Amino acid sequence: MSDDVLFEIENLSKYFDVENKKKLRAVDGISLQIKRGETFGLVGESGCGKSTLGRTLVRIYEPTSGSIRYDGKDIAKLGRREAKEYASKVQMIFQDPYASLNPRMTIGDIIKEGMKIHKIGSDKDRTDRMCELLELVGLSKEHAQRFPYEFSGGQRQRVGIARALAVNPEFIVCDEPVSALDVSIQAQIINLLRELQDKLGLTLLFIAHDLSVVRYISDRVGVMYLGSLVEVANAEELYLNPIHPYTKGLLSAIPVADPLVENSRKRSLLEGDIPSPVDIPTGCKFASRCPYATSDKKEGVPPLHDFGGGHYVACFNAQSLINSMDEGNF
Amino acid sequence: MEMVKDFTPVPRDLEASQKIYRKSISYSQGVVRTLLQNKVAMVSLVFILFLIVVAIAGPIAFPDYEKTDLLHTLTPPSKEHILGTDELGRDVFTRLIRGTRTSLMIGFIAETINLVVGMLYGGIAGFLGGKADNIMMRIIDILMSIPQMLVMILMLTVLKKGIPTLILSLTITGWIGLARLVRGQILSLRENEYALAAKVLGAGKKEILLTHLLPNAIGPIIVNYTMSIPGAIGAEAGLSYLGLGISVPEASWGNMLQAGSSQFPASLWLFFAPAVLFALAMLAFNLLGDGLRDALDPKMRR
Repeated sequence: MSDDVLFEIENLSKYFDVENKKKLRAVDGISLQIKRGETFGLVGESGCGKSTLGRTLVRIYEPTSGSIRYDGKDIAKLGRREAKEYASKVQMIFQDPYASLNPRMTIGDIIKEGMKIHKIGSDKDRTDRMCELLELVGLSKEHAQRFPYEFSGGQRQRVGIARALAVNPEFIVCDEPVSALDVSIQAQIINLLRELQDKLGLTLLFIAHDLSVVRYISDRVGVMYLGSLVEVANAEELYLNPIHPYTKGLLSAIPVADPLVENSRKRSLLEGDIPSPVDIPTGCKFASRCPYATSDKKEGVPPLHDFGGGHYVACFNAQSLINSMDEGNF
Repeated sequence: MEMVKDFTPVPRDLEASQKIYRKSISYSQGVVRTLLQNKVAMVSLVFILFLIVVAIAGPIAFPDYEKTDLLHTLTPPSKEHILGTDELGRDVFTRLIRGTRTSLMIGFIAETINLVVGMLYGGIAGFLGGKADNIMMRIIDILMSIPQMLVMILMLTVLKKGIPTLILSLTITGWIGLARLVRGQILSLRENEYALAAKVLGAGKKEILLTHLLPNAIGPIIVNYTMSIPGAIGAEAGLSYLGLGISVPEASWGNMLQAGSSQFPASLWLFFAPAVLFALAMLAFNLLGDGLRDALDPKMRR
């Protein structure tokens, strides 16, 4: 079982310095395993640390503490050459297709850049591979000499995908790859990603705040709140039987297409605002907004605990919540 | 009804419908082409090139800018002196050519020094970021707090008057604006997603700076350079007008304007000859700068 774990993230934290010597705890003690070949969806509100986690995995940020093991190796301890190799195995697709392509470079040069850095093949090989990649992502090789500004958002995102694929990665962080696109284009890109994953055996970390998109593409889903994971489960399980009150609140915010159902359904609304990640309350981070919070202040952050079938929940009251669900009082 | 049988459907060639016929061009080719299409910028460019030729070759063809002729002072434009003479009988046309050399030289040299210093200082500050950037920017803040005009006037009063002193006084704080611009550009480009993407691909710092940051920062830098040259020329004119810059018998646009205004309005040609040329040169540099900015931005291309 353990040999098909690709990423082993342990107690990972990433703090940013802010004014007055305070720390912004963007990622705060996350432990997580990502299995080879799966799509792990990561959801949460804006500013909950999803992107920071993704960026830390691709080494844009150095973690403040904790460890990331990739294929059994701690990525903080990689040598120069190993680090470069890691850079070819772990890639990223960015959120904003308008900002993620250098406006001064042609599409062909953008896609070839990674191959140049890793010295893959001769220049002709790279050009051939670049043409192949363009076709693979649904563009044509005629586009290679064009500049990014000549393309639409969806086409640019395809270029971004081709750039990531050029270095033959095993793992791709998709940082909200569709949130800047039209809904019709979103579906195309999502389907392209699924198709590529099947074809190339990729492992994906799919970061998004659109819960329906995540459900569609993910095998497992993690819910983040203020830098911590509050619930991790298989996608269907999470959407059908959410346990953590925050997950319930998030899911009930998804509108239902049927107006009759929409008007009559019971929603679990979240009250209040997210506390600032600079002044995170002690104890359970969600307590200030939780309808089930008990008055007795418990010490520490609730740990992720397995409640069967790989359904992890970080909540002090999880057991009683499950019991009440079983009794049908939900 | 009889069907027409003479027509057969033409098979649709999907390949052909996807084909792109317009020849693709590189970035620099695009810049040149856009600039060539911009008539205003081209006229400005031609005019500036003309001024440069005049500045280089003119004084060789008309060397007698210092020759006085006390029998013909303040003569209006005539066949002999097409722009008339000044109060000491010097030919205004010859002096204007000489003044073009002085003023352009000061503008180009001063701004090129500012460009190099500003790019280095700002580039280093922006790329290093963090503490180094903080210290370097505070130094700039301190320099900024000293009034520039005061420093220039002080330097020109204390040091020996002349072109080198004038250039020194124009550059001592003149690079600050460009340094800030470059630093801001690099700083914001560094966090751009395409720079991050290059980092994720495993590119080194040098590669990121050279292939992603500088090419994208160079546009505003060139524009700023082009537009700051008239600033330096104008500062020269202003200081010479105050009698602090270039002093007679050397000619510059500034001291010619000063000489002209002292005879105003009796001898109008003395004032208008340098004033018109000065204004046209300023306009040309600014319009060329505008054209360059549009040409360097691929998004502005049609």
